[in-house]
Amino acid sequence: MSCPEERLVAFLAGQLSSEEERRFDEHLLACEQCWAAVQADRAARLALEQLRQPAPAGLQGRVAASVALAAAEALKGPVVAGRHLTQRHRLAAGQRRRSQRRAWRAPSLLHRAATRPHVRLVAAACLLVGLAAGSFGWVASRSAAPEPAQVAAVAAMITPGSPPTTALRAGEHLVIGGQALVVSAYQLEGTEELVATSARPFPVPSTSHLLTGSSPHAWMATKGRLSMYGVNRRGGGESMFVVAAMPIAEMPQMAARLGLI
Amino acid sequence: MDDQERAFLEAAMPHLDVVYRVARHTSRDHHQAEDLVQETYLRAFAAFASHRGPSTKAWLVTICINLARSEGRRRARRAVETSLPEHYEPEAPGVNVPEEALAKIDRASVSRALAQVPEEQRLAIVLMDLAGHSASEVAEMLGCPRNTVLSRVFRGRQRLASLLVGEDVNRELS
Repeated sequence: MSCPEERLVAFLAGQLSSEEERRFDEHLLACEQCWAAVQADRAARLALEQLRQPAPAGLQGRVAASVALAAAEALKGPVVAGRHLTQRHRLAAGQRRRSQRRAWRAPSLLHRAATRPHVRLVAAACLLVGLAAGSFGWVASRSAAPEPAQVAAVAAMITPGSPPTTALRAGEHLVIGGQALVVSAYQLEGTEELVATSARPFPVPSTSHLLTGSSPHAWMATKGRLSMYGVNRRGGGESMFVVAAMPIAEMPQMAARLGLI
Repeated sequence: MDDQERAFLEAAMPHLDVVYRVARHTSRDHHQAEDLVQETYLRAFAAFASHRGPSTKAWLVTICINLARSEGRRRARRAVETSLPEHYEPEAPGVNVPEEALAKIDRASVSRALAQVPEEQRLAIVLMDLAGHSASEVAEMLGCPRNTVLSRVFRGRQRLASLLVGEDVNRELS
């Protein structure tokens, strides 16, 4: 004989009156089927207790970083508001950020920067154009490779504790995985950052997290102590990614101070 | 950090564990779950200015399950809920569930078994047993009657216990 399910459900949910509950208790003594169901319910709840686990370490930082990036982009306007920046705005913004950014301050670079100030200005403008205009329409797709050659090569150039090469300080032109890119070193408060730019979108590591909520072009990834943040753009614009030995949660602040967002 | 961002993080971050639990058991793996959590928070942040609901936790969880369902539809992986007869009939009549033995089953086995529970039942279990929502809250989130939620939870737990008995037997045999 089968018993109505709704009575069992009501009993387990504590919805029966005290009199109904007393009668159901008596029923349980006689009905093996309902008694087995009650036992199974309790066992399942007990087992489920094991799944009440906290979020993985690092997820909070990653989420906070993505929110910070979204907030920064929202303040700039192009992503959330969907407005294109004009070339005049981009250059003006690039120029503003140039004064906030502190490039690597080795003596040779100081000389170079003094003699070739337009180089930094153009680089800043290109990065901003990449970030601003790259916000539209392109959805990054993750590479089949865990770490594309371009990303692996730039990440390998970071050597915490050692100054970057002269070429990197000046902006090194390279071809990696068939893609032409420029890698430049910066330093903020003793932490080295490498910024790679290219006319083509960079392949995105398969382990990266795409920032699809507010900016379909952006991605973040970690590799040991290194954090990476990138923005891709299709249609011939500048794409970029930055690598630094810092927690992912600190990347938005660093990217903002470098004038990348 | 601007005021809006700070206010959002203060309101939303305390619920990260719950949102992750929901994401973890509505996703294929923990990578997808972490992406889902991040997406949930980005969507929530974008809509935070207009959020007026009494429960930030329920709001975040609702965004999370809607995203998970969209993803599920997109991947055409949506499981079909198995229809059960009106009267309850245990899958293995006469087999008692060894409660003490099940309590010792490891987390990975429980997670694997839960993944095999039909989607609608699993979702009701996740929202009530793992996220700690009441049946009424879950009914509002899912847009279905409260009794339907309780029925899904009941059936899902029965299915889960049955699957775990299989896990336990398999473990002992191995």
